[in-house]
Amino acid sequence: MKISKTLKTWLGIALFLVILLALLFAAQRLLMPKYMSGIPEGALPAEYYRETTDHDVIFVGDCEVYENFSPMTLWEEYGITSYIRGGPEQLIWQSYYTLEDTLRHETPKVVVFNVLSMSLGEPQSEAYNRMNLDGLRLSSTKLDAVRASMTEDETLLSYLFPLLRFHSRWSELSKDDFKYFFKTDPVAHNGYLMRIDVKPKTQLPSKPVLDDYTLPAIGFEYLDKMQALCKDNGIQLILIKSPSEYPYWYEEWDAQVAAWAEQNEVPYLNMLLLSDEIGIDMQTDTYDGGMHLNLSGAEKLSTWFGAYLTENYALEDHRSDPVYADVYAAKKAAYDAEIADQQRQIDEYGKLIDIERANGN
Amino acid sequence: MKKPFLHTVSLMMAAMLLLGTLLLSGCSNNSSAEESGSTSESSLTSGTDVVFVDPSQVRPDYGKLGFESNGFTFGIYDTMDDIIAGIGDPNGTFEAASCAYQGNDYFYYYSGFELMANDFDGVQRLTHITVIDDTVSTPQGITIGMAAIDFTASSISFTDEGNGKFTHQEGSCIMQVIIKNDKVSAIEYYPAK
Repeated sequence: MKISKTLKTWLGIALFLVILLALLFAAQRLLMPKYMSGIPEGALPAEYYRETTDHDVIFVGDCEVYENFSPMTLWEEYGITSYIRGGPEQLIWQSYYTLEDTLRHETPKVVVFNVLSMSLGEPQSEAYNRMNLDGLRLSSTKLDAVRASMTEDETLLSYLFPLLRFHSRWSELSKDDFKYFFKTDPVAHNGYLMRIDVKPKTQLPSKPVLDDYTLPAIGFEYLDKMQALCKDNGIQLILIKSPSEYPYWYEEWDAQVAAWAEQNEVPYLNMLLLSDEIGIDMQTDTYDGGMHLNLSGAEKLSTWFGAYLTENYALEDHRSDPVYADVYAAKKAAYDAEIADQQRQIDEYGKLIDIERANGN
Repeated sequence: MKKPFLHTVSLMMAAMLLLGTLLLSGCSNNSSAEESGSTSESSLTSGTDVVFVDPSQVRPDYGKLGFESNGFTFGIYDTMDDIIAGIGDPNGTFEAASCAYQGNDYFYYYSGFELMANDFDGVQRLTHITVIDDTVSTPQGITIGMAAIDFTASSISFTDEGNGKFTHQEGSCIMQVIIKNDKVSAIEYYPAK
């Protein structure tokens, strides 16, 4: 059958567009940061979508959740399934939209939000925005998150088409960009970034005196939204202040959050005040002098928190469920493998050499 | 004889080449990458606002807002090597990594005051001075605990920012004083944004 010239032209155009899109997609894939070494935090948002089973507990918030809680401990000791959808300097509106994104995939029974980010009322930096948002799947939720987060110089278009932002990385491509072109490796354990090294707390910087201790109103607006979102979905919200001792969490801020929590009948746990009960020892349980917990600290905190969750919420023990048991057996193997690898590095080099090298040391 | 199909294809190839060239030549209007000079992972994810300052533009110009210790005057954006050589070793140090473990803040503790530094192209420069107690005073004679009325008589003029916060700027350095309960409760120096 003879194909008309017009049809040939249109087929040519279609073919051109397909090839163009494929090339642009490939270029974008190559040029976007992979976050496989140096800054694994950037890989956290997208890693969630690999999960094959649901979670009864979802954590949202900043590094004080993804460095301080171990979902594996919650599983092993209580059969609680959980995931930490945290991000570096995750702002409260990003926590809200990350939760909204999570609810597109599952409905947990409990959501835990770390309140430190309530001290920030404005977009902070493109770098942290990218790490919290680029990995989210495209949806109206992601677009809302981007609009709420953009700094002055950022554009929505650059989040829809990241190639517009990362095109100049072509001169800085590394082996990782090619190695992880098709697929990245997992960096976390149900959203928990593990560190087993120890750096005891010595002297923290002095506590700055502020001219104004009023928490930004936008924080409470999004807290209201988070509460409403949880209520609409039959989810129970818990507010926490993780036991990280720096940056400082002022008593004045604590009082404001406690007042909101009381008014809205939402539990609020300031774990800084419960450190003794939890058993946190900042001489052994931190890898950076008191800012974040190491594995020892995270497991202690998770043991305590798991008991709290079990006593106060009707959470199912899934350990006898063969589907979950199989999935978590594989997760446990990966968890133990990372502990062994980090221990080997410390035994051989006295430090986590992979992290040192990735940071250019 | 004209071959419109091949002509169309060749036009499309030229368009693709042009588009690719435009994309790779940096037509984006996003200035964060340009400010930092790079879109590498490390520069993109540097944790503090200070790091987004063009290192080539960073130079000490604090004028009257120098701080003094051990007879040595120093100020914002001076190198830590020079400062430590001038005032002596600190009593202690602390390093605060950002959540992404980039853009560390380096703290140096001295009697009565505390210094914070950040990296600019591999050189640590002073980015914050915090006066801790009343054992030190600024060159203007301002001390922690000083009565507000005595502060207002200082030799440099301050702008009232409200909420008890007063600032004075010289070059790219800001000196901030906070008054609470009619007394000076905080004295800090930091770069203007």
